[in-house]
Amino acid sequence: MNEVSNKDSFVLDANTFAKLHPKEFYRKFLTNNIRPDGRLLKKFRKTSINLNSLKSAEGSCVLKMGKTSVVCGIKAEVAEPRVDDPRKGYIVPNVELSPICSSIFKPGPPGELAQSISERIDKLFKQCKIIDLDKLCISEKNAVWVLYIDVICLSYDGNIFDAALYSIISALKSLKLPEVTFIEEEGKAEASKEKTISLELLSIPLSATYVVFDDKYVLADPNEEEENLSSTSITFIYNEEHKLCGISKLGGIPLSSELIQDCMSSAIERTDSLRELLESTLQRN
Amino acid sequence: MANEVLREDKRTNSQLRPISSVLSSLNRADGSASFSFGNSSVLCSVYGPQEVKIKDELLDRATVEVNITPQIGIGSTTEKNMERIVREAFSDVIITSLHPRTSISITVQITQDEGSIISTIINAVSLALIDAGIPLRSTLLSVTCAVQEDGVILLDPSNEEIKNATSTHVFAFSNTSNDIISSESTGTFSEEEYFKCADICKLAVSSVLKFVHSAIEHKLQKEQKN
Repeated sequence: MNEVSNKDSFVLDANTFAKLHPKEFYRKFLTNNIRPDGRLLKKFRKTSINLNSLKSAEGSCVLKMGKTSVVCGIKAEVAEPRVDDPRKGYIVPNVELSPICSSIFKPGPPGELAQSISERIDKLFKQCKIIDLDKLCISEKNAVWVLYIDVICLSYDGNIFDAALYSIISALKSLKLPEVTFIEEEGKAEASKEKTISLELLSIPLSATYVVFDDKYVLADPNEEEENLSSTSITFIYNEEHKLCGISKLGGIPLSSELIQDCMSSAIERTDSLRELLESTLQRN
Repeated sequence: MANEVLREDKRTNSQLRPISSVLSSLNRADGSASFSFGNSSVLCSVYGPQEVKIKDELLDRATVEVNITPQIGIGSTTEKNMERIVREAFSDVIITSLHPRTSISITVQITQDEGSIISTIINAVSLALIDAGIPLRSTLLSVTCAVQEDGVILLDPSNEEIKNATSTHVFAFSNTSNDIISSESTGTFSEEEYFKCADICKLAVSSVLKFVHSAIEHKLQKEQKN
């Protein structure tokens, strides 16, 4: 008798349960204040950066944040300045999310997420003075630097905005531009091979992202699964003076100001620790 | 309030531009609305629930598609970013689980952009969704504000005011909750400024809500007469 009833009672193993009832699976962990990947709720994934590993780029950064990894390369080119801003160089940020990093992205022209992140980063650079664009000028009306900032995602596991922004800032910090003189008679720019100059950043804005699961659990640095299961997400961008450079909360459920304030203090801590990591990596190089 | 410095268009700092809207202006759409804050105006059409492309089909809910076309030319990354903001803002407002395996398609044409365009779009989409009879959890409405260098907060800023501002904040609130549904802040600002802007926008949203109510009442009265 006993044997028969055992066969009847249907028991799922953990992996099957997670696939069939992902939300319930998460709830079982979150009620114990831990996430399925072993992190505490407000714990960010282990982040590491490697500067100047691309030899063909003027500045580069390989970043790993848990299973998310991105490469950022900055190519500098000399170009004619725009007519309306003859003394200013310009930057062209671009984020690429191709099928290389995850099956959720399809080949072809950049999708909405990639375009949206590129736009956000472009806006951030335009509205919060990060680079002094006047410093990118080689000769007024004749030649300026153009920085093509390309971020390519190699492995996508959520929180791509934080990863992209941190890799861009790190790559900019490691950027070495050759010293260039503009020869007026010939109308061309000549680069010196030995001397390089690095670019000074006016501020170092970095971001921290949180998602809210089930209206009450705030999870920092979500992975892909957590992003899909959560009911809203919020991103904070803080500069080194602890001033905000952007907040974006994308739809979903409403968030109370207490919850937002709670995230803010955690975001300050996180962005500070990222800046420390960047400084110590720079000193080692 | 008499000695308050007026803005370029003779508004006070906490005054919205005149709001206007037309419901059901498009013949073939399931629902449509135009909405404008002063000279910023958009036209929005809603189709749905209708057949969905196989690759977009979701088994447990309807797919919401948002398309935004600028005044001139084809959409760039700016419009793509706005599409994402608008779609995410309505993701929890539209009760998509009622119509699984269908699509709700929202198309927005910007007819004039004189600042605060994301807010104008969100309000137009809300009205068009109501007009189309799509089941909604709440009415989502949005207002933008800009912080000037001297800390003065201007409600519903024009393009010129946004250009001179240190930060711009777009907030969306629903009529069923006091908390922020969607927020998009750019520029450099402090935490106090953020929450102050949220409070100011929340107050302004309630006056937009009053307008929306009267616009719908007006439309229903007209329909009953016919």
